[in-house]
Amino acid sequence: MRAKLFCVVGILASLTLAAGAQQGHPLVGVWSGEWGPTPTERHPVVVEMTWHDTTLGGMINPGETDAAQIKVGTLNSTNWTVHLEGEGKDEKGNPLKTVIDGQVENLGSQKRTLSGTWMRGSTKGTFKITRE
Amino acid sequence: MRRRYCFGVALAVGAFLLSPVLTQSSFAQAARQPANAKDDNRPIPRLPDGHVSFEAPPGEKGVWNRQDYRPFIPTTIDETALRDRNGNNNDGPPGLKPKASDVPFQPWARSLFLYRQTHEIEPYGRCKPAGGFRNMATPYGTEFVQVPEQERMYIFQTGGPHSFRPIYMDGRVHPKDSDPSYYGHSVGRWENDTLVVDTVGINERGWIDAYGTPTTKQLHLVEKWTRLDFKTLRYEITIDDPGAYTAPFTTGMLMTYQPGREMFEFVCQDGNLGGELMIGGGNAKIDRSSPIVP
Repeated sequence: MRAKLFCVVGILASLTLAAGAQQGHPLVGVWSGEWGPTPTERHPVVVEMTWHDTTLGGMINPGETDAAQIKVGTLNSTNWTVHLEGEGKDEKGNPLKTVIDGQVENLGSQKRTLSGTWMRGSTKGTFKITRE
Repeated sequence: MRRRYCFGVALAVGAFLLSPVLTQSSFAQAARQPANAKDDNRPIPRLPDGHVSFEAPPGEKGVWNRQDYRPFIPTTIDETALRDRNGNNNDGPPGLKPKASDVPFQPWARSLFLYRQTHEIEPYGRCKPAGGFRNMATPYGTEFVQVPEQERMYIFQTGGPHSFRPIYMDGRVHPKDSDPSYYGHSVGRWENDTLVVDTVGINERGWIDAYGTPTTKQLHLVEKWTRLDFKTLRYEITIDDPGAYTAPFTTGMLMTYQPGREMFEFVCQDGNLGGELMIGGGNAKIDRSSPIVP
């Protein structure tokens, strides 16, 4: 799984590098990094976010078996905090909900980051992803 | 004696290093003398097909220069870019620009706009193309080339990326699936003596003005140019972007015809000091972590 996700990250990152810096909605684009329930148990993740009119959408771990479509996405731009809820399936095909709450940092940077808490089903952890 | 010798050498070196600056300054002064100033009250020139000409008259040189380059009038210090906080601005006649507080930003767009007033790392200053308002508010002059026999025209800019944008005047429509680009796809038409240009397909890699007005890939621009007299061009732009604003809005600026000037080779990447110019002095830091220019 890790190798496959690494491959997905690589492809998406290559596409994004070719596309150049994102100056529109600050969440739009491909973000990659890791999440995990403990400091030692970490998992690579990719979040791709889209924006249309007033709707924040996208996918969590696109291309993976646990890929989850973002059903709820909100940005509080007074403090640049983000709330995402994704619905997908786990490796066994059971419904799996992912809830992400994060803080955008280095807003003006192409390499802005999003970090905070990550709930995968009933497992709670932390995460940090960087916009590619 | 040794000290006096060193001083003399330093003076000579300084004079040598300064000479290009002095020469350029003198040149700039000379260039500011309008070659045809006495003719500034001439009638608005027209092309053989009857449409208004934005070009320099045949046999003459001339470019259009912005009178200012900000899209909104700030009403608070937060809405005021660092470089404007000394109060020196020319916003043109009343009604040309909206107050920043009246711009129908979506919340994220207003927050990002405010953020950029103190974090002015503008892509254009790093040699990236910029469409819309910024395309016209380029430094060193803009030149129009109208080619009615080909039913198109071009807008060339001296500064920034030293690039151009084509405007198709042949009645074509926008392509349905074109890849977004810095300038987008522009089609134009005449409404009496006003040139009206409709543009879509602008990517999200640039700013449409020097103040970081946010836009998305849903951006649709309608630009209008009206030559008010021989030496004055009114530029008006309507920004329609449902991804960043709750309603369309319009702003603009005046441009001045500067006879005797012409475009020159401008290579933005050579000795570009834009980074320092844009971040308001030593108070802010430039993020150099990116392997590519942001």
